[in-house]
Amino acid sequence: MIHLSRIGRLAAASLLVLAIAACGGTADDADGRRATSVAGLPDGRVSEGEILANAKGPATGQSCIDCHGEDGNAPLDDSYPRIGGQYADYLAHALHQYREGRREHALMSQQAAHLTDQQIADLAAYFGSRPTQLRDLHGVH
Amino acid sequence: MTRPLTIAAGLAVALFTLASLPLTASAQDAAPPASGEAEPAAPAEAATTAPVGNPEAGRQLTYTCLGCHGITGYKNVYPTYHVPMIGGQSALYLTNALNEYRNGTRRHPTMETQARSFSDQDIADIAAFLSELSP
Repeated sequence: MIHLSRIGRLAAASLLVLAIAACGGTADDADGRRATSVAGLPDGRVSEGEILANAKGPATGQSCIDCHGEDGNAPLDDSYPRIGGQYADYLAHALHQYREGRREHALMSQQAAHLTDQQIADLAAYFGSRPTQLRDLHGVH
Repeated sequence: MTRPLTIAAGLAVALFTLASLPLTASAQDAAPPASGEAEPAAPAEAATTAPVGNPEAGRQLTYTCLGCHGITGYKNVYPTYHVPMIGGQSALYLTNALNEYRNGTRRHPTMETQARSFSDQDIADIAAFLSELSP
């Protein structure tokens, strides 16, 4: 009987987790620009991110700013994205993808290869805090 | 004596048939390889001589993007993060992103499916429309 009630509690807990998880795919205007929210990532620090964004990466000899421009808004090459004011958690996700080899770029894969979770969170927080030239597609049609 | 000869003749016929089958097959395929070889070259060329994007066509094609990119603050799940703002990115960046999703070198289940349904021209059109947007 104890065993059964344990299973019951487990099932209830699982349902609760599922219910919470199901809330994830919805709009969230209020904290849209919060530093980071990739699950398990440390909180991003804007000031630390700014220092790192201007530091030359050991692998490429380039800093983030060298290629993405001031505030991440003046890319040196047309193929480089604008990252200023982009959602910080998306930027963190992109760096994770590069680090894990799930997204590839001659420069970015090397730049991200040795970043720690904290550094990714800091960089994402910094660029996410900059003004943006981007927009979502709400109302564009 | 006749039997081994028959077997030998049969074998010869069989060998001839077997040998000629691939020949006919390849002869029939001879025409398609001309276009078949041209096709793999097309995506490679797309990087340098991409089709010219038509923003108005892109406007129509991007209705499908609204379900995620058209809702302010919308979040991806597993893992959880805001779907990126894509309006205002350069046409080249957007083109590369869609090509990478289509090739499977950039991973995202929904985006890979979407990108696989687009032609090179569609991608150029979408990129042209989105790159002209500003905040």
